[in-house]
Amino acid sequence: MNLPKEIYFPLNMGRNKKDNSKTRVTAPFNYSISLRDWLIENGFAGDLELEGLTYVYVQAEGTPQQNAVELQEAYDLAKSRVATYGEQIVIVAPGNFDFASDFLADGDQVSIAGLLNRVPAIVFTGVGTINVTGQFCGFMGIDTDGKPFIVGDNVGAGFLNCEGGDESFGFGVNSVGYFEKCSAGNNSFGADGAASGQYVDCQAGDESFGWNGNADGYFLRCNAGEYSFGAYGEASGNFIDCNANDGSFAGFGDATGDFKDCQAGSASFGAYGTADGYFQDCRAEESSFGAYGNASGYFINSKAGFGSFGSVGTASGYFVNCLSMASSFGSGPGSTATGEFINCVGDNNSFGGSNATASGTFTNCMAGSGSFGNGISSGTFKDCKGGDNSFGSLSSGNFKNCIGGNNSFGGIASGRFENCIAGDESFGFEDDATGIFINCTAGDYSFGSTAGAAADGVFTNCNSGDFSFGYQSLASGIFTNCTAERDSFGAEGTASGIFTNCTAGVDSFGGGGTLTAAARLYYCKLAFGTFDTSVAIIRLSIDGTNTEINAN
Amino acid sequence: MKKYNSTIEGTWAKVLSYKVTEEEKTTLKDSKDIAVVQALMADIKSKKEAAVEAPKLDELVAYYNDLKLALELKPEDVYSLISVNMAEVGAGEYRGIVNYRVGKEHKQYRFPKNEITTFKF
Repeated sequence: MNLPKEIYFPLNMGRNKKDNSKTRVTAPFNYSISLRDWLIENGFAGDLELEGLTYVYVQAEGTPQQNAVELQEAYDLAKSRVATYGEQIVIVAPGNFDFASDFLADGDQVSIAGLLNRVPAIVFTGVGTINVTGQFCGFMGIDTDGKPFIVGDNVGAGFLNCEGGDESFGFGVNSVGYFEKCSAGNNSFGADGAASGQYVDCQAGDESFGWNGNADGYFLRCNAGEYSFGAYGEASGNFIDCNANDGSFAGFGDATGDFKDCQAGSASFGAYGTADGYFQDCRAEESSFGAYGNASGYFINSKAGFGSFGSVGTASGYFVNCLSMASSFGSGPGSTATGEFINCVGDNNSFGGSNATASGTFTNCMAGSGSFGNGISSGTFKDCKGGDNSFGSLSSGNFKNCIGGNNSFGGIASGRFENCIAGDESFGFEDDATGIFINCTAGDYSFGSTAGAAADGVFTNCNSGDFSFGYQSLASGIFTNCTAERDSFGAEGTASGIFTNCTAGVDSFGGGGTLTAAARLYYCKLAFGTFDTSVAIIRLSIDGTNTEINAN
Repeated sequence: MKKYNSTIEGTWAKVLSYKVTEEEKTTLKDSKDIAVVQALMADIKSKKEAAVEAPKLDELVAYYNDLKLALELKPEDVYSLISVNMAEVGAGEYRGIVNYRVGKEHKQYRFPKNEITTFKF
């Protein structure tokens, strides 16, 4: 607050109040000594009543009851001067003030400022508290001693270094004022109403800052307890470096504002609703960021616990450098991960995990088992890594430079796979590998293997272990520069595709099954065993005895 | 003092006062059934707002359109409304705040006339 550097004292203060002549002196508003001491030191000890055209001074040297009377009279005097002299400040020396009933601060442009810029300066020790309804005024250094610091509906006032108890600074009303370094108890700062004001370095208890309403103001370095910041409504304001506990930042509503460097407990940031805002460097515990609804906003460098980021819902937003634990990023039956994910990390069952769908764009993301749409994986995946059972039961997307564990990439592997690596029973295990596979590697029983499956896609430069490429099933695709171990390429099944520069172990290329007349083998090699030369066309191929085979 | 809220242009809701009960708070806090929680929140929300009909709706839409003009948006700006919350402080006079984005940038506009509606230290 800008207090005057110079003030005007009436000559012969107190002895001739009708004398309008004034003397100009420099006041000690560096607060190094009290005004009272300064006045005494400078020869004004005879009368300490002090007032100017725009301020009234309250000495507060009596009992708390007397101080209350003095403050009331000073305030009334200041109010009476507004029409003539404009904005007024009641400057109050530190002390206790015992009001029998609430002190009504209803004067527009009448401010009350503690002489010392600290708390407590003006302490309302009695039954009565302060009730502010005046507009365009400020209050500094007021402590209501645990009672509600009442601020009315849509009161455009400023508050600095003030303290209140529960239900302070706007309860059940729209809080539109300016609050700095103020603290309060539960249900404060627009609780059960709206927190539309400006809040800087403020603290409150549970259910504060627009609880059961909206938090659409400006919040800087504010802290609160659980269920705060628009918990049951909408958090559409601007939040910077704010902290709260569980269920906060529209935990049960919609978080649509801007959130930077904010932290919360579980079920926060639009947990049961929508997280549609802009979240940067935010932290939360489990089930946060649209966990049970829709995470459709922008999420940058943000972290959350188990089941977050549209976990049991939709993760349709834009996620960069985000970190979560298991069952996150659009996971769970019926969930979808449709957004864009870059450099994000989840644990097991993430990114459309738990039989959900991953249809978004995933770049350089990492998760545990059962991840990346282990229901349907239809998105675009680049440089991603998952554990076992990842990348779809129906794997129809576009995969490049991705790594999965066992039982990955289908199910039905009908997408495009380039430079991908997986463990055993991958790329269409027990189902069809109908897609395009380039430079892919897997373990045993991969690429459309076991009964009822089919390897009828296009396979180029792919490698696998035993019992692969249509083992016990159908190898009817186009295979170029592919290698496998024993019992592969339609072994114990049917090999009817086109095989060029392919190498396999014993009993492969229809071994133990059928190498049909439709099959074409060019420049192929068996590491062990021989080719069935009965019907298929075989050119320049070498069997396990190093014998060149040209048949039919 | 009547209060109004909008998150979708052209649509307004009147804000009603509804005190959440302790039983409802307990359910929201303790229930493990997502459907129960979401249904309860929908019920609470329905008690906290009412639809605005013409001619009040027309008045609010017109007021908002005037507000948008005051934002001095450029033709190339990609504007999206986040929320408007306002109270009717007089006949046809409102005090409130608009939260909106221009592109990705979040902005706030307090009205009327974006004047400093609060005391500044």
